[in-house]
Amino acid sequence: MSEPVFHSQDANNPQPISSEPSGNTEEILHDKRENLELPANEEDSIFQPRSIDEVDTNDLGTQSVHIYTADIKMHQEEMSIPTNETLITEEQSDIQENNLETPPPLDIDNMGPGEQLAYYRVQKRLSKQHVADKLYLSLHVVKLLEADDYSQLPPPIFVRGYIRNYSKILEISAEPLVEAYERRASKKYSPTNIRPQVKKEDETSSGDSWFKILTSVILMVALVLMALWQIYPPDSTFITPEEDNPEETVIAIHSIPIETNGSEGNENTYTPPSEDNGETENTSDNPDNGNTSTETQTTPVENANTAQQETVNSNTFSLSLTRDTWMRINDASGKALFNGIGKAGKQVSIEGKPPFNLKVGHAQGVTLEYKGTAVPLKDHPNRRGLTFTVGN
Amino acid sequence: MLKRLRGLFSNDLSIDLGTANTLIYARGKGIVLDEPSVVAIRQGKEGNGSKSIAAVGMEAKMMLGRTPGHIQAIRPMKDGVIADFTITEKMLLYFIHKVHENRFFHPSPRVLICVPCGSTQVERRAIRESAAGAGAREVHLIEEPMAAAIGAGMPVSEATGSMVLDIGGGTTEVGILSLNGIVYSESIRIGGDRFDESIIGYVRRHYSTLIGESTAERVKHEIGSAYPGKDIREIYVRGRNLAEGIPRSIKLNSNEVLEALQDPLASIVTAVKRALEKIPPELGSDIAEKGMVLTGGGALLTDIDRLLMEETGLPVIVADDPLTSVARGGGRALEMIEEYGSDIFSLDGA
Repeated sequence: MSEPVFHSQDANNPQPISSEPSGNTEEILHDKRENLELPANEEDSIFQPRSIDEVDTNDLGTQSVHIYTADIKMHQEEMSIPTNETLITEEQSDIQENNLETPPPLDIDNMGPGEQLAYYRVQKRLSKQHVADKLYLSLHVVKLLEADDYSQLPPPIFVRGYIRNYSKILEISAEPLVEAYERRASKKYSPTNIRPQVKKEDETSSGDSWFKILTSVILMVALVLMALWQIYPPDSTFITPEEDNPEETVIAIHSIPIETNGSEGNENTYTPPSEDNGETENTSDNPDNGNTSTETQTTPVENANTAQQETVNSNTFSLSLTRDTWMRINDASGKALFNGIGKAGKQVSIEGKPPFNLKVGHAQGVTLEYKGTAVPLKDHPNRRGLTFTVGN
Repeated sequence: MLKRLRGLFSNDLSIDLGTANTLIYARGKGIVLDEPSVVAIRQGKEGNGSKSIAAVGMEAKMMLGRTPGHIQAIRPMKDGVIADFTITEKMLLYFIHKVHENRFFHPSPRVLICVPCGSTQVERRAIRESAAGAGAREVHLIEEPMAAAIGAGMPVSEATGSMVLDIGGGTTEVGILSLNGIVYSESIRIGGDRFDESIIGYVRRHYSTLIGESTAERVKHEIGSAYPGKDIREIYVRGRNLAEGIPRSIKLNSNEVLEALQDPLASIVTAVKRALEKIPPELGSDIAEKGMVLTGGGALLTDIDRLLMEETGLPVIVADDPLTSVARGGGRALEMIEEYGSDIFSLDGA
């Protein structure tokens, strides 16, 4: 069994990446003395009597020795816990004396985080400058922090970080202080950029539940309407043979009255053959349509009781096309008689059951004759496409 | 059209697709998912060759290093970028579905994904397409330092320098930001994973014992530190003794772990110093005054802030909840994009 190799020295005392300031003792002492920021007279008052004591006991008399011993003493103090006299300035020493004698109970709720930090710092006998050096902050920032004056400090994220780092130095729990800071900061400033943004109350987003419900309802309604539209297309609902007055309902549908030779003037009624009771007169003739190729068949039915003459079996009409146009022609039963593009210069004859429903893409290129009578199609000059009902 | 419709029933998501963990922040809900980026693949029957997902996330992480022959637990992200495109897509799909409880509509969220600033166009495109493949109707990319800084609450919109150091699982990103833009950024492929590897290497060299990744990670979490502390902590771990070939228990202390971590930590410190060297002096002075902010899982390493403070002489602070900074920042960025348009950040349209 091989013994684990254990580099005790390396492992127990690893060096950080950069070496600590490891200059000679004098350099260190110089730095430390600078950090103390002690007034010159106070420094003298602290150090001189001691050195004199030392001198007396050791029976040494030169000034240089005095300074040396004082420095060494100070160095020793720095290495261990600093004493009141060396590290605490006048204002703090007053506070500290009070605290040491009768430590007042901490009123956490009323004390700001800065006050608490200052309190613990004094308890630990550290100077502001020492803390500032440890945190790599300027003394000004530490002072502001302890005074709970956040107006000149960076945004809250930084302040919270400073409080945490400061607490770490003082070896106290940071969270109560951070919470105290949050309470205080939220009173004074509105933290716009601190926390993950909570959605504003008046802001509508796609995530809201009511928004989803509303959308669902709208979708359902839209689907139902679409279904209805598919089942009852607009043409079939508006243009039906049963329609009484198509002109009144839809502007685009232009009903063309066809003159008949009926005895009762312009009666436009048409009675389908199936409904015919046989009481009809022969009213339908082919009036002068020599120039068309349409065949008009009339089936006169004699009826003794009525004087009406109607077309019975078939109705034809012809379309002369001067331009290419799309057309769809349905007869009364909805059967498509023509659906497609009619070529220019052609004549199309259509035969079926009236009334006919025509949809013409290019109305101006079409001349319509029904039973030899030209039907005007140009009533709507601005409209290119028209829907007609013929033979009503 | 259908995607847009489905989008009404989906949340806006910000995804921190990290090497170690994937975090998803849903708008108005906060962090809704935090799972390891691990997928366990089950190999189909012999000759079939078909693969299926056995487990994703936490469950799959438990399988890492403990799988039988036909199951393979893999981490589809490596060094902050996609190493396995298909598996990443599957993983994203799983996560996106997981955060949408509503199964009536297939989710099609708007997604913002954080990418390392050093990733190449090809890598970004891979991430974008993975997200699109996972059903996202709109994919935005944002660079991690920017998301981290926004998530930490730094004043990125102001004309003042902000420095953020995001130590993730696979990469460490240094970013110096001002006016919603990145002035300087650098990404080094060192992160929490490298810390683990260093610990494994140290234990192998000094104790002739091989420990697993999960064990190394536990050592790092429990006794890892970046700066010599006052108290020395110890941990017992088990590994395979290389000479004997049988598992043995060894004792590690925090100073040993600190020594093991010296190499990756030195690289991070170098990257930070390099960044400070290269930025304009005005921004440098802003940063020296306020300090830099640490985010990412690496910020939780004990005393890493102290190390950086001592090395750079600048104030260093750890963000609140550093693990979720990037995801939260992404969520906020998504809101900012909605408010001000996508031009607000220098988003990459790759």
